[in-house]
Amino acid sequence: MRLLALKDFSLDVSQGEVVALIGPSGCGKSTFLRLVAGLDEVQEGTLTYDGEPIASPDPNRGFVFQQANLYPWLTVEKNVAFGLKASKVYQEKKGRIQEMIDLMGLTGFERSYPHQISGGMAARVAIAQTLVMDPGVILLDEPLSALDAFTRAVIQDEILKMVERFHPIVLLVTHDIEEAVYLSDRVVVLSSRPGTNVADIPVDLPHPRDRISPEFIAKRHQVLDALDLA
Amino acid sequence: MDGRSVFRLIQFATAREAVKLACPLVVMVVALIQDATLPTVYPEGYVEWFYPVFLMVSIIVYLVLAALSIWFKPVRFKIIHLWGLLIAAFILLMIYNYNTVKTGNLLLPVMPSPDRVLAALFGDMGRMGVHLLGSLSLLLQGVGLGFVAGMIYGTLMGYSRFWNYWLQPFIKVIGPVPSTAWMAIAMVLAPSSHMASVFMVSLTTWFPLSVNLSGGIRGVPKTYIERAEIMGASPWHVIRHVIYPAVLPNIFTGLFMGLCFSLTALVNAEMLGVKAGLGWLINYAQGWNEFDLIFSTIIIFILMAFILLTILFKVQQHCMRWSKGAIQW
Repeated sequence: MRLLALKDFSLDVSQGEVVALIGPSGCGKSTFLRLVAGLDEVQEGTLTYDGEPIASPDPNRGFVFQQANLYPWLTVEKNVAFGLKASKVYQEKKGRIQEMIDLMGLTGFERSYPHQISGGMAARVAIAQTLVMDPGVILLDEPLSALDAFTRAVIQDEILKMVERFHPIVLLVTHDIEEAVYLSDRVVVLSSRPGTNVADIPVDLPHPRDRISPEFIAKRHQVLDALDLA
Repeated sequence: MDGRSVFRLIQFATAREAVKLACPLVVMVVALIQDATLPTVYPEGYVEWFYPVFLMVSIIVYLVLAALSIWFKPVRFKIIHLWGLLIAAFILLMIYNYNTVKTGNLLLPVMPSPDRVLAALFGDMGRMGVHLLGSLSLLLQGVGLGFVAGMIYGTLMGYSRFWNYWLQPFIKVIGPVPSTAWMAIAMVLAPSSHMASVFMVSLTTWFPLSVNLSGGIRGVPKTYIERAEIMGASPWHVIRHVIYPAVLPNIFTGLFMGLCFSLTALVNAEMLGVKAGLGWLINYAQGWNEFDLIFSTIIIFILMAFILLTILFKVQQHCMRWSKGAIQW
C-alpha cells in the first residue's frame, strides 16, 4: 500500500534560515524531512539542494531523530566522533569533537555510556553527533519532544547558539507552537494528509526572544489560527 | 544508630559468617573420620588410597581459602555463597562411600566407590590428558568452523533479503536434524573421518548462531543504520561498526547454545573413529565394563565444559561492559 503523504507542497529555504514545520499528526512533516535527508525517494516533483537533486543520504544534510537512540556501546565522545570515522575524515576534523561536546554542554561526560546519562544529555549528544559533520542543512525531527519543559528551554537556547555560529539551514519539525515561534525565522503550517502548506508565517522578532512578550504571544496566536484553518 | 550498635551489627554478621565458613570444614573432617574409622569390607582386602588423600587435600585447600577470606572479601563471599552446596556435596559423598566400599550395598562394577573413581582419574593422568586434548582439539576446530560459518550465514541471512530467500529454507531443513543423524552421511561425504567429526560438531554451532544472529540483525533499530548512512558510512562500515556491536548479545547467546549442543555432538562425533577423545574413552570404558573410568571421564568432561562456558561468559562480560545489565553465569 502506498500512502500519499504530501501533495502540492512547495518550500524554498535559503542558507542560514530556520524553518519550523508544524501541522497535525500524520500530515507528512517527518516524511518531508526524510525526503530532504535522502532516506526516502521523491515520487513526483523535485527536491534540490544547491541546485543538485537530492538522491541519497549525505553527511552535509544532518538528521537528528525523534529518539536520541545513541549507540549504547560507544561513549559520549565516541558517539560524537562516529560520523567522522564513518565518512573517513576523522584525522582532519577530530578537533571538532571536543568543540561540539563543549558547545552542547557535555563537558565532563565524554567517557560516560548512554545508559549513564539523562534524556536531555542524550538529546544533546544526538545534536552534537550531527553538528560535528559541519552540515549545511540540519534536520530536527522533534528532537526535544520527550524532554521536560525546563531541559527543553535550555537546549533550545543551545540550538540558537549553534545556528548563530554555523548558519546552517535548519528544518525543525515540532508539535510545540512555542518552540516553533521561539526558534524559527518562519513557521510553515501544513494541512492534514496529504499535507500542503496552508500558511507561511514569518517570525521577525529579534533574538533573544521573550516568551511572554505581547508580540511573541501574538505570533503564537497567528500560528494557532492557521492550524485551526488547516 | 549509635556507634556501639553498629559495632554489634558487624560482630553479629561476622559471627554468622564464621559459622558458615566452619560448617563445610566440619563436614569434610567428619567424612575423613568416617572413612578412617569404618572398616573397608567390599571388595575384601581393598586398600583405599585416593579417597582419604582427596579429603585431606580438600580440607587443606579449604583451610587456605578460609584463611585468605579473612583478608579478601570476594573470597569470603564466594565461600559463604557456596557453603550449602559444599555441605550437601560432602554429605552425599559420605553416603555414597558408606554404601559402596564400607558395606557393599551398591555392587561393583556398576557402582564403583569414590576411591576407585579417583584412582581412575588420577591413576593414569597421562592417558586422561591425551584424551582431554583430543576432545578439546576436535571441539575447538568444530566450534571454530561453526563460528565462522554461522557468522557469515547469519549475516547474509539477516542483512540481505536476497540471501535470506535462498538460505532460510536450507537452515530450516538442515538445522533441527540432530547431528547423530548425519553420522553415516558425514562418513561418506567427508574426505577423512577426522573431517567428518569436525563437520558434525560445527553443524551444531552453526545452526543456533546463524538463527540468533540473523534474528538479531533484523531487530537492529532502523535509526541506528539510517543515522550511520546519513553520516556517510559505507555498507561494510555499517555492518562492522553498527550491526555487529548491536547484535553482540545475540552472537553470544548463539555461541552459548552452540557450545552446549556441540559438547553433545562431540561425544557422538568421537564414535567416528578418532584416535583419542573423552567420548571415545567413555565408549571404550563401556566396552570393558570399567565404570570407574566412565565416572572419572565424565568428571573431566564436566570440568572441561564448565571452564569453556565460564571463559565464554567472561569474554562476553568484557565485550559488553557498556551494557547496563551484566549477564550472570
